[in-house]
Amino acid sequence: MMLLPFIGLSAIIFAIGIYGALTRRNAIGILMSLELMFNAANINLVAANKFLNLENSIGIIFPIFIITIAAAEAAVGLAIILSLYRQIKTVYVEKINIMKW
Amino acid sequence: MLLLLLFAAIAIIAAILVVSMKNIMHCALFLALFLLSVAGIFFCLDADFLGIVQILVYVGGIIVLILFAVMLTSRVSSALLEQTNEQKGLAITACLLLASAITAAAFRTPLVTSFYTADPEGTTRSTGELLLTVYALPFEIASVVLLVALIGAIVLAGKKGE
Amino acid sequence: MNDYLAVFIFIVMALGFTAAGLITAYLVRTSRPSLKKNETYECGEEPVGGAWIQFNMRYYVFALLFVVFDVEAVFLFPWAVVFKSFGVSALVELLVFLGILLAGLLYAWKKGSLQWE
Repeated sequence: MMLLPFIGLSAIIFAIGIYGALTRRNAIGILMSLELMFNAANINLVAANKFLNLENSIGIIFPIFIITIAAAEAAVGLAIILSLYRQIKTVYVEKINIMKW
Repeated sequence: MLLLLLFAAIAIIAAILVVSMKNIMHCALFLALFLLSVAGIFFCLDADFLGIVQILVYVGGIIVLILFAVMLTSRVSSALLEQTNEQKGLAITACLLLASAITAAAFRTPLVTSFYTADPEGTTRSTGELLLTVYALPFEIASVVLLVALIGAIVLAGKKGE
Repeated sequence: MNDYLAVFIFIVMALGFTAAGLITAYLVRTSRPSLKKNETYECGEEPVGGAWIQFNMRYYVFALLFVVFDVEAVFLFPWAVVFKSFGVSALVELLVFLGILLAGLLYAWKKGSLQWE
């Protein structure tokens, strides 16, 4: 086992996440694609911790903080989406243009 | 090794389904499958505590939030609307370029690979020691981040009388 | 790695048990669908409205509180493992951590988000 297959795996998942974020019309779908990208980064860190023999096992600690941030991001992001839905009754991002004129 | 391949295959297939399914509810369920298989990859890489955290927080918490948001915002009529916009071709090109660029960069980087010997007791103890010494400040700031997220989300979502 | 063998066997058995039950039921049951049978099941009552109704926004706040304290619990596990060897300083650090989050809970309480009316 080597590090490179894991970098490839996380690159593939990250690219899938970017694709979802670029093509989804539903704002919740975009948030889900963001979660995919967070997980790609976490896989990378854990694999680096395993194969590069990092000092202080930083590759284990850092993903915990990333997951904390992801939880906070999902909570606030979904609250914004719900608030928008209450105001203008849609979650489709091309219809959310009240800041544009 | 075989298990790792299985988990990686499930993760990639589930990720593709997350971004391509028509019904947003099914996307959320495939996201749960994806997160579970990532937890499996963590277990295979000797990060046992992180796998537990992944299952507890992601599958047990964030997926529940996403499912609630899906149920709060979807109607029967909107379940079958077109879910993707017209920039599909451009997006696929961009993603292929990005993935190949990352992989090429990884191949050109000289990495000194050495195996890290797993602690037979698991990683929970070393994680706790680091959290109380080197990473004490990030540990406290994490709670501030959670506090801000909690207050912000309640202000945004918790209005009365609507 | 061998510690997870039990977990793996458990998962396989759980999946197998569920699949066996469903497949057996599929093989032996008779299929006579009618309009009445295809309705949403609501404990024997006549269903009122569809299953895809909009839920109350208030559910979201409860899920939110659950997620925040779920993440907090994750930080408590490694702390509890090393608590003895660090002594008072570990306790102080954790009390600061919990105190900050307690402020959030008090805010939610004060705001009336915990009430169900």
